[in-house]
Amino acid sequence: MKVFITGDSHTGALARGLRSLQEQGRVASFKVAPLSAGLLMNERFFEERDGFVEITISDKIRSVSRLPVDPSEGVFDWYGLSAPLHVQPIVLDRFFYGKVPQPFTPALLKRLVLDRKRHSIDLMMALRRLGVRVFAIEAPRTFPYHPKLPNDLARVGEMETRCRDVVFEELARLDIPVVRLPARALRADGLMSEEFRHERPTDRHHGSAAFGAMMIEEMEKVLPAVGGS
Amino acid sequence: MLAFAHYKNTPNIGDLMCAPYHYFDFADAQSFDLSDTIPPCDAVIFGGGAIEPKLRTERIHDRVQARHKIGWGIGTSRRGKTTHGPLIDDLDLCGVREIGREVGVRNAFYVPCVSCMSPLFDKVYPISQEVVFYTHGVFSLPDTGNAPRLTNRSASLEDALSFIGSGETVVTNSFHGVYWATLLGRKVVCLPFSSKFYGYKHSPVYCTDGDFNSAIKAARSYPEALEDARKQNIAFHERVQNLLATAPSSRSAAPEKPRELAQAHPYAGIEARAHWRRAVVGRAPSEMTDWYRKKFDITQMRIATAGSCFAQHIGQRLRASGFQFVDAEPAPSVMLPAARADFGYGLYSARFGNIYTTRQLLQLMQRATGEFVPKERFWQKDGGFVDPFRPAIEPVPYESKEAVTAARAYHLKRVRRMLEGTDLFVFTLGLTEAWTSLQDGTVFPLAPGVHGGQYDPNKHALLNLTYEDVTSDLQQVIDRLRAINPNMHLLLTVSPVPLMATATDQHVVVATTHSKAILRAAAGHFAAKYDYVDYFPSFEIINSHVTKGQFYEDDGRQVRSSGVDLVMSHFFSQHARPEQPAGGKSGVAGGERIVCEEEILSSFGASS
Repeated sequence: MKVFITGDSHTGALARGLRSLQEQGRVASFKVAPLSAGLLMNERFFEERDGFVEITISDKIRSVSRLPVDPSEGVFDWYGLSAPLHVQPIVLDRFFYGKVPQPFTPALLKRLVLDRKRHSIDLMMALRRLGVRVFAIEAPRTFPYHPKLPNDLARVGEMETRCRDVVFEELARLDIPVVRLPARALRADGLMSEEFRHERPTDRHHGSAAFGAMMIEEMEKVLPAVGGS
Repeated sequence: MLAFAHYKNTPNIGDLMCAPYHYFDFADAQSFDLSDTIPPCDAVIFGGGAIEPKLRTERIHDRVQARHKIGWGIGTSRRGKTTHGPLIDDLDLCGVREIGREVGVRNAFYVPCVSCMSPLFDKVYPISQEVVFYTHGVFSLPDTGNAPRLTNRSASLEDALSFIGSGETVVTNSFHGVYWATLLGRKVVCLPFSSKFYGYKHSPVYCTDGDFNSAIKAARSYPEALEDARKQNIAFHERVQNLLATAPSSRSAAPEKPRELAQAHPYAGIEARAHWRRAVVGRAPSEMTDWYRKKFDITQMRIATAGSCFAQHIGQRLRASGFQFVDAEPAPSVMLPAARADFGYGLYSARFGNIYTTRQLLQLMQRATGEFVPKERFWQKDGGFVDPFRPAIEPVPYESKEAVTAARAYHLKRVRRMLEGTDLFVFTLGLTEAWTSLQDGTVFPLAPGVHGGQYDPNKHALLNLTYEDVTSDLQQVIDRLRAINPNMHLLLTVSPVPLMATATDQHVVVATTHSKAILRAAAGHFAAKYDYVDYFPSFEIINSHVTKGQFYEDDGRQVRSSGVDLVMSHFFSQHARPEQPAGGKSGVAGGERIVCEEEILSSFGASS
């Protein structure tokens, strides 16, 4: 099973995790390359061409210009996208917090989430129209030491769950498989376990190589069950 | 001898060049300064210039022994005023340069400054600047950077015209600066400091708030102005010649009329904007100016908006223009603009949706303070529930009555907060027709059954508010607002959007007129009654027949964006946009992007 992983900055942890697994001689059939920072994927960032999708983000850190990648760079059984399940800007929006949190409807939350995730989900659907097998990769949840963290951690965990559920539901509707965070990655309050925090103390947003390795292993478990390799 | 008297001992090129002897041939002519002693003569011609006070107050013409006493292109200048006062009426012939003042005054005619007769106006002056500043010698113009400037003190007429003609738009606080620029076909922005600037036949755009950009945008040219001014002067020259050919004036022998009775009729000296011919005739709607003058300054006020749908435009433009817009129920910051509108965020100062009637507004305030609890509090729709007082505030019905109750409780709490934090309440009156509950008089924004609920003639009825109803409601609203904030101000407007449908047996246009007439009269009533209530005429700017319906979409109902732009340009011409705070709010997003880019660079290397 050959897997190409791309997407937002959380691909960094996946790449470092992959390297650590490869150094142990355990995995050889994955490749990870980033598209851009997730913020740039909140707007239309690709165009459908004849036989491929052109990535239109003009970003110095973009290393993928088309999907699927040119056959000279390899032929892959699966394309995984890390982007649709990074919902932290919504989770941490001050709107949801306060002494007396204001009521909001499921319709509002759904609109908030899907408006921001529409383009990354659209990318997966475009790839699928080209016959590419795609899946989504869950990003780390909010860590308990995030600089913008509200006081009510249980509320943060609840919002993470509700926002991700919106995406899960949409991806299920579209029949797009998801590689989810294993339960051991989470604390009881729904926040991310500190065990997987980034090795660089100043980064309070991304996961560690251990997180990346864990998710690669999840992919190895989940994907064969989805479609057979 | 024919004596010409005007300001001769002055560096002001306008005063120097405004005497008729420069442009018409007169036998035995001699010129004098106004301070000179003029010897006995056949006739004396005063003018031009703002010399009327010298005649009316100092009676300088009484000191001259002459058969005929004439004014030519004379005017007045009342510092800080916009009106002129009555015109002198004891000259044998009086040519006044402010149009309209001649009406009803014997021997008086409108004659603009005779300097238009100069052949220098026939020269072509190439435009090389977008904007030039031509300034009065004493009253300076604000410093606006590098735009070319010239004062009226140092130039010859040719120099002045060359300079003025070099600008596409001329910004000036000189009487002749405005006049000459108009004659040259240039667009003119005038910074007035006295009444003399309010008598031009071809009005400039007035800028009194320092917002040159808006004024420049609104300025226009008058290609017909030169020919028109010359015609007036040629005709007046003929009148002068006819007079000079007649027997001596019998003025002194005639019994003197009581001056006030002769001069004072209510329309003498009215401003151009008050005079149909000068304000409307021959002007495209976008060229009509001076629709509105503010009653008070709103720059430092916290502003809340509510009302029928047209009020959305006002709120959005106020917010975008840097005013202190009160948003008591802000949307999630990550919400996209289209989604905000769909969920009722940002349209008004709280999520109350459209408030069409004064009764609805009054009841909203009563519900917010707990004074009134309606009996009918839920409407069913599509298997869920909506709030009857804002049934379309969510695109999908609430799942339960409890959800409606929770959302409404939070909303009403925020409405209370909004009212407490507001200094200026902007309300757009929309309709008089409302649907009401027969149980307790609750008024709904939409008829039951239109967007949820069920219409039951035994429970619901049409209520068409009368003038007395509307004024009573508004009075109660005002009293409540002033009780919350004793310094609360109000700005009332009437929506120009007609009724979508009437539930009366009238034609919808007739019902619309009935409704709008009541609302307009009520708004005018309170604007006249209280100095803290202002009326802004968005209704008239869009709806008046003089705009020929051009600001409506093809359906004759929806207002085009060009109409909204025009309305708000008139608003902002009076209410200058506050200084925008420096800096943006993209710091957080920018910071996140940097963190994410660092992660990618460190994990993949710069060129991976």
